[in-house]
Amino acid sequence: MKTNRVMLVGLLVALFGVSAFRAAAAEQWIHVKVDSRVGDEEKVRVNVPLSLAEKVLPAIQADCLHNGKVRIEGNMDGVDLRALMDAIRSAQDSEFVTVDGKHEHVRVAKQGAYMLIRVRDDSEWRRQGKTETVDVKVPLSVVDALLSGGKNDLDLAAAVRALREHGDTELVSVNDGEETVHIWVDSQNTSE
Amino acid sequence: MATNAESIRNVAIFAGAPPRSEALPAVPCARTRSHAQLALFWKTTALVVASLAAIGAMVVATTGIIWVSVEERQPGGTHLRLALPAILIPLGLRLVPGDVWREQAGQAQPWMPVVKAAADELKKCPDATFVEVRSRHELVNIAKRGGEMVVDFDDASDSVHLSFPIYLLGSVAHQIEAAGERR
Repeated sequence: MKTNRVMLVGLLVALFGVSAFRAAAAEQWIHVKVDSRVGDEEKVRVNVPLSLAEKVLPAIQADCLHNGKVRIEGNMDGVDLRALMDAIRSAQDSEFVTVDGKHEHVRVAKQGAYMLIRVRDDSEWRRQGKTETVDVKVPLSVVDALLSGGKNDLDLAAAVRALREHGDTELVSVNDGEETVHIWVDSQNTSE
Repeated sequence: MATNAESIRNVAIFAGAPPRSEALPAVPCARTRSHAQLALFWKTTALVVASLAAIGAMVVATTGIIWVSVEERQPGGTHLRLALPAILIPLGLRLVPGDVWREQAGQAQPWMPVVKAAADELKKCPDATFVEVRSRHELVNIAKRGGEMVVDFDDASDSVHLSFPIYLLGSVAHQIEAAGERR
């Protein structure tokens, strides 16, 4: 009787392990959804498996992209991005940048494991009472991975890998009154 | 006691058939022999043709088909439909003399690792629509369906459909890369 119970528990643990492994191994997809409300009312849907992006990026050898890394142009001598990132990670949740203009509001903050950028701009649409909104939410692990290359490099391949490991997340949401752009990661292979 | 053959002959005679006066020759005559040889030749030919067709069908079924359809929507517009065994593309590229496309292959060569990496990974991906652009007048769709890439383009004037096996991307990329290296 006792042996049967042990076997049953073992079986349940094995089943749980298999299902957990399957969930972890589920393919992650990055989705881009653009909806236009003007002109031809164009709708764009892009669905790319992150594993595909992870394999393809290091193979691209273009002007500024080599081995999955983007070279940052310009003088970066005075800026240590990694030290900056370390400081942000170790800091408590807070707003690092706040810009309040007459028609524009920018907020850069850390919230939990995410870096948030929020922009509100009503300068162009104030007559119509509309506001342009931009919301960016990037997992800190992805930013870490992005900065894991050389001093003047952004490691895109590592960032994609980190994104895949992070799981489902919202990344970018833009609404300018005429167009909406939505970028997110999940395990579905469709944007709808 | 009459044998079975005799009984049948007797019944046939009773039914009105003329009696067979001459026995069958023991050795076939030259005319009969040539008929038999001809029949054997046709049988062999048919067997060879059927075998080749079966092998061809098997190769096409295994290696896939490239479907191309281009339809002009205007009145009297052309409608081209083409189904091509996919194996012909890498075979055809082998037959094309290197001088003809070496220059183009050299230019495309840097992108071939990208194509090969994409082809390898696409094989493992589940079926999905990768890109869809839809507007009032236009539709573009790039998808993977069961080991094939499917590209559809529709607008007011044209409708284009292209589908090909994914392995073809890697195979062609290999050949372009090789041709570019020989440059």
